[in-house]
Amino acid sequence: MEKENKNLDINSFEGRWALALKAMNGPLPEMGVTKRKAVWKKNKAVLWYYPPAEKKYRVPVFIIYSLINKPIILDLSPENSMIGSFVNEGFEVYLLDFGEPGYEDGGISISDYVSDYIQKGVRKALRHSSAKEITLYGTCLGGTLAAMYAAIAKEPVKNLILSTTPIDFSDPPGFDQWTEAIREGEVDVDEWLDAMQIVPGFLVNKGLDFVTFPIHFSHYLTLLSRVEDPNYVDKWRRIDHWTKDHIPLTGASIKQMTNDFVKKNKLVKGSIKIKNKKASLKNIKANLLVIAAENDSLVPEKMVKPIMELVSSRDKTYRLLAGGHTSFSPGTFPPFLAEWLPERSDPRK
Amino acid sequence: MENKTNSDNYFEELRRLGIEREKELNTIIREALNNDGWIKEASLQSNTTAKMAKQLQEAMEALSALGNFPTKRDVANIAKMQVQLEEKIDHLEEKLVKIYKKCKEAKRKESKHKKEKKKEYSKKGSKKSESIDYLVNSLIEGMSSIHGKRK
Repeated sequence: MEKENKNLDINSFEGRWALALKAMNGPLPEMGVTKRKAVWKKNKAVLWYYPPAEKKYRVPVFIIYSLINKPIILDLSPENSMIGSFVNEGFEVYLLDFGEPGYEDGGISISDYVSDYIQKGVRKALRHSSAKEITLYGTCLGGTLAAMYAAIAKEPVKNLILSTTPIDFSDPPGFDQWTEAIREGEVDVDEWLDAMQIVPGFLVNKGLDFVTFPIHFSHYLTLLSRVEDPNYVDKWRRIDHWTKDHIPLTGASIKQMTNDFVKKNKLVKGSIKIKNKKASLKNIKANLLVIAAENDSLVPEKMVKPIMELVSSRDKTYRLLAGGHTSFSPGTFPPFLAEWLPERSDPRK
Repeated sequence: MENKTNSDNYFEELRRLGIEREKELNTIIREALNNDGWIKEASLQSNTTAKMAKQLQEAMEALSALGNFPTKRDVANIAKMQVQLEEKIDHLEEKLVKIYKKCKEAKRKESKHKKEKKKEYSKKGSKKSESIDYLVNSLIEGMSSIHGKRK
């Protein structure tokens, strides 16, 4: 590719345009490169195990990713892999990939994901690693699931890390009239969800665009301005593919998000139930690290921070970092984790 | 070199302007969509579509009974049964692990008990040997005193 690029005049608009087109339409590079093996499967979900070359900590990390995107963003390439950075630091990593739900999974609610997938996955991980305790790392909606699980966990959760995690739905960003209409019952999509069972990936994509950026083209201009940098182009292609590659959402999950989170804000009120068990955030006693992003238009700080006052954890840290919603999937072990996690992960001497 | 810098500046400026315009356009679109008319229309459309979809699905179910072909619901039911099966296997595995742990614990206790018994036996054994030693010693002493008197 680099050889071909030499024939193009990078300073001309045509030259840049040709390179940008190549980047947009060329075959995708390989993603998900860190060595792993499946240790448990259920329905479409897979629990992946990423072994470190040298295990330096006794407490493994269990990653719960969002339900609406593929977790491949955590392992884009050898240079841009959050999972790789954990493994290189000597942590055992488990990733619960929920997979792509189909029509038959339409009845799986958020609570079902917590009790039937996360809780069981954590048990498997603890047994597989022979660890006595575990660290939960939840990003975006995966963080909400992680917090809900931590509130009912019988398993020994030592640390809970929540990155850009929505907890307080009292004032979601933008579209205040829509939120009000949902709360007043003027908009009710339950019947539609019952008929369809799942919302296909492309509709999830459009829905998120609708809430955040109804039209977006600036990333193409950024590609044009930096098209001569092969490292940037490589990363751009991977992230561009990931942002468009949403997975279907089950009808029951959307119903629970709308009714329990948006309408009644049950997480904050402590009235959410998982298999008839109250999942009050007060039950959380694990060491807590909460991360929010300054320029996050999807999950702003006001949706993230309230958890700090809702848990019973004595050891709790809140960090507001520069960046947007997906800024925290770096290739190197980020300083906010390097300062916090190792000393709480029972290092092996 | 200068040509390259000019070109870089041009595309950088284009990017900056693009981000600004994009922000403005999105604000306009969001404000336009955030109104009662759109909300009512969306609600109406979703209800109408839901009814149509349900009617169509029921019609397909009726047709499948006549034509003897499976529908998506049939496939979904089989998939759900498979998940149930997986759950049963998981449940069995959990039970096996519990039994294994209990067996291990019982074995540990048994070997501890055996060790303690062994210790007890060895203690009893040492008492016996002490009394034998005592007897032998006193016999030797008695013999030596008899020999001494004879001399």
